[in-house]
Amino acid sequence: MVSGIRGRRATSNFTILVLLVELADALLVGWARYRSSDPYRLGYQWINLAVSFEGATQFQAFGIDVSLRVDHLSLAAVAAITLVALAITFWHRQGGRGEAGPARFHATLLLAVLGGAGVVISGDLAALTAWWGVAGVATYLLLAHRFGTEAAGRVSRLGLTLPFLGDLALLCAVAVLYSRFGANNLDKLSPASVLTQTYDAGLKTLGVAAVLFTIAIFVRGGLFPFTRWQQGTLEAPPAAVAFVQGLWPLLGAVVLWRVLPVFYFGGPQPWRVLAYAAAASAVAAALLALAGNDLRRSLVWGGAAISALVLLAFGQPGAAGTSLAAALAVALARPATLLCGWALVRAMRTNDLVDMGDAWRRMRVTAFSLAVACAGLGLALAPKGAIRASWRSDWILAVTIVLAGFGLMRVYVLVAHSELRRRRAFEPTRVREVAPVMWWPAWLLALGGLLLALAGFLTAWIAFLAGGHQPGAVLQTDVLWLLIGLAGPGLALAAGFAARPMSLSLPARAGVWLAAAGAAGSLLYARYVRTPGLGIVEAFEQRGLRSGEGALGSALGRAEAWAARPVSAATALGLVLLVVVAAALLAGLLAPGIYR
Amino acid sequence: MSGLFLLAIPTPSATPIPVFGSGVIGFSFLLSTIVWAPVVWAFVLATVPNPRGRYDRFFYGSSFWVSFGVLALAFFGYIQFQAFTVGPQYEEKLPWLPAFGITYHLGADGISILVLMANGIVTLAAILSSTGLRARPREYYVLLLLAEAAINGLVCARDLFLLTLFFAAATLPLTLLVAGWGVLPGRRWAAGLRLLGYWGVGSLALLLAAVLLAATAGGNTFDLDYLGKAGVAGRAQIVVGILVVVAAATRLGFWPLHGWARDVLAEAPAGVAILIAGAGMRTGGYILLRLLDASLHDGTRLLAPILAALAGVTALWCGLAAFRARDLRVLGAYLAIVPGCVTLLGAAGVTPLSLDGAAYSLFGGAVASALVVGACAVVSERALTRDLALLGGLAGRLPRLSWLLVLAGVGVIGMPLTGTFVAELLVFFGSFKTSFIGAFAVAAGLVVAGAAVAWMLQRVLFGAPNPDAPPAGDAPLTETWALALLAGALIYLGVVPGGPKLAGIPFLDPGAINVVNASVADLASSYAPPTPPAGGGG
Repeated sequence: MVSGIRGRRATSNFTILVLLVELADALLVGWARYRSSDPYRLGYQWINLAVSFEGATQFQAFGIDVSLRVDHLSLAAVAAITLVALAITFWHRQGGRGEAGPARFHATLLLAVLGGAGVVISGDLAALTAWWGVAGVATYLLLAHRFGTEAAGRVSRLGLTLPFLGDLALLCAVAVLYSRFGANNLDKLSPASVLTQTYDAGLKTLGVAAVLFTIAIFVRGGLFPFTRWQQGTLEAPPAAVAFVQGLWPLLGAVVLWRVLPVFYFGGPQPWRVLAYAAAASAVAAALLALAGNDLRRSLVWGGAAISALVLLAFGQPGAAGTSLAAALAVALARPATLLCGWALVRAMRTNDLVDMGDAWRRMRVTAFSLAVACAGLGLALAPKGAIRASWRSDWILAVTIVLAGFGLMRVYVLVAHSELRRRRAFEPTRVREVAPVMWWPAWLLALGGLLLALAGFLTAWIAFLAGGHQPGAVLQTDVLWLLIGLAGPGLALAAGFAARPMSLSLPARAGVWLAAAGAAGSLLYARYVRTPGLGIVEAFEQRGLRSGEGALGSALGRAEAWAARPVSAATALGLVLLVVVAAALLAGLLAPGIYR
Repeated sequence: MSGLFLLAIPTPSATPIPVFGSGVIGFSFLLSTIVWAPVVWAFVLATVPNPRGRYDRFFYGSSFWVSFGVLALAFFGYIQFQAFTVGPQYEEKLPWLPAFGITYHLGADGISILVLMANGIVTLAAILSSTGLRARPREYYVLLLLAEAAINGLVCARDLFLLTLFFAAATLPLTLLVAGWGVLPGRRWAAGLRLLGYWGVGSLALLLAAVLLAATAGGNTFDLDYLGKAGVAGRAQIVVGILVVVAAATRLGFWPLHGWARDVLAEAPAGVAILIAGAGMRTGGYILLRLLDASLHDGTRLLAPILAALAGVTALWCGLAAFRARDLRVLGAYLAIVPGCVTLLGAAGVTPLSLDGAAYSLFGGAVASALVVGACAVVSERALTRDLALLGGLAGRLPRLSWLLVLAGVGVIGMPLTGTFVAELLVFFGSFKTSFIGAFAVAAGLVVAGAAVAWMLQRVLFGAPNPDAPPAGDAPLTETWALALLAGALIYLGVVPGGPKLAGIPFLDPGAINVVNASVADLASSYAPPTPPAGGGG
């Protein structure tokens, strides 16, 4: 319907109306179901087939239900997704004034919201996969919204190529589970009796499925080493990028929460894979956030580090609930950092932190929103650390929280409190605060992110999200982890004020090394993998296949000429006899009587 | 919002509720009419006098309406199909060559009726996209109708010899269409000869398979109902199975027998390319299900790992080859092969669900392949070039075609909201138990194909416009309608596979997946999973 509306403002208004209705819907249902811890279940049959009348009973029928499984988490997630979409839509009214195709943008945004909401409320893994794919298609269309330049074209390619790997990994994971357990429904699949006592299914099945789920979540979440599709699509409309980076980590966390039984009963290996991958991803992303002086890239790397940490703590007993709370906080704070970042980049007409500064004086609300959003991201994981689990993961958690907080807040310090120098064709005095319709959505999201991060310390909030009894921490532990969460930003503030030149030069040097390493890697890949591989394909297609066809054609031609030549009666008789004998022999060999 | 959307999704029912609109017509020669009406009209067209091309538009219009009529009959057959019974329906059986056990036996089960629908839609789209044809329209439409009839005959045939005849008969009109109306005069003959060569080899393989199967089954008959239950010896099953796979591979374009697809789909006019990709190629998948899976159970089980590997290799190869394409239509031709890999994996999965998916992919894959080939052809016609080095930034200039090309791309790789996604879902769910490695290989191939789709869309639509490229204009309404028809079918199959319902009652459409499933359940009864031992634990 949106795509049929003409006019930028009209499409925006209609989208806002739809999103407000959805938000009100989510809040009303949340109010109604506040005291009920059991999920509300409702299913609509989409496919229902009787496929066999023999064999194991669970494989005799196949069905996919477009099912609703509304629990507290799904309501909170729907509300978060809708809130981000609302903020994005408001921001885009002013920030996306120059973008073509407003109807297209808003229609695909609504499609993405629909897909995201479908993922979080799905109780059927097959339907969940379908909704995930719907959100994936919408993401591609959102990121490919701009066209007409090489950069925009590259964005469109990256928006489909790598993420599709994640989509197929999810499809394969769900298919692997179905192929052994004969069920898609989460309620039918989750009981321990099903996962541990089904004939022909064991740890290997669960392990493979868990690894595939991990790949899907990592790829779509844009976590290291799959961040390329998010880093490479920064030339898309800012609102689209911000929404995508808020949406997918949240969807990944929700899906992981839904399929946690697969990890629990899959033995220690799936946990190890998830924990090691998440830890390595978080540390690498946090370090990469410190390399280079590109504002947007630093923010994306910092956000990716925090999103990876969210997954790391899922593995700690009792900490899954706090991970969910952190995922919700990150879903709001990450878009806020990017919206603020874009406002600053647009006002100062550069991405380079070296040339940015003085935002605290000239764009105070935006700068403050950025600080709040960075603090929210830095603190999002702190409550999880307070739930003590294992000594080693606590250390990784603490170090990465500090590193990521440092990387994110470094951006703020350099942008807000450095000197903004005059450049060619750039007059610093012209830098001023963005229009209110652009700063308040970012501020709202940043504040929401910080509040949700702090709410993670409240056991009642965690219990509301995850259900059941949630372990709490003593006050001292909470304070300790709060301090750890603030340590990174604090260090960044100190470094930024005390040693600004060094905090710019060291990352710049690291950025240069990183770019050189990246270029070398690309060259090696092109030299030793891409070119030879495609060369083989091309050689076969252009030469091998054609020469084979040519040889066959020549042979047929020769055979035709040979067959057409005059032969004597004796030769013809001999040939006929030969064919008859050969046919008889063949028939004799194949006939069941002689074979026996 | 999502709640409203969910409410709109109908609830399929396993119970045999009669569809609204069923029982409207019922006559004994439904399938014969579907098969022979285009042939009769082709003869009429061939004999109508046409002084100085006065009736050129008549050939187009009348061919359109005849094909529309065939589609309408197929649709009536579809909505009247009794999805709760097994076996062929609308049967017609007449003795033809009794000495050889050959009968004129037509019949349609759920798979056939669905493929007939697909053929009808694809033919209609092919005719619609041929509106711009100016050269020798009489011959063109006569051949197009003959090709449609041959493919429909193959789908309806319940006698293996008859099926083989129709299988071979489709080759000639399509070859003449490619050779006579191909885009580039220098290359169209070569493309036509390639089609003739590959499909000829396939037809020969199928003829050998038919004769061998009938000979080893005994009974002096080619009747498929008998051959399916004859219990042929294992060794013969393997030989016949290999021959059937060769025949299917030449049609579906499996590696390394895909050489014709690249040239033919790139050189044929848009309408013919749509017909070949949407209807001609699917005949390969159809004979895999009809002969291999239905009649050669032991042979299928033995060949299944090879088939699954073949599906994976083909998908991977086509994805990689698409990257090296310098011509948009060649790229589209490679992508059109990909849905066939899902069909092959489903056939190799040999579980009821994977066979359901394979049968469903005959429809979904048909419209997706036809759409991608047609969209590439129309885009290259409208942009006045097919050179990928020149094409670029067309999204702004060809908005309608751009959307259709995007949909074709995501349809080929089976993203949600398209019919190919439902087929992929069923095939993967059914195949992972029996063809674990093969399913992963096909998934890897789909990832590469996805990258190729993304590259194509970047190169053609979303990148920077090329200042050296000729000026481009959006497609005329008829061509847009032709592609929109395919796009609509693709989305319809993806959104309501179980058919729409009003208050729980099927409305006009019993649901493609339900119609297919009735026949697949019968076909797949030999492949039911084993019953687990009592008290068996994990």
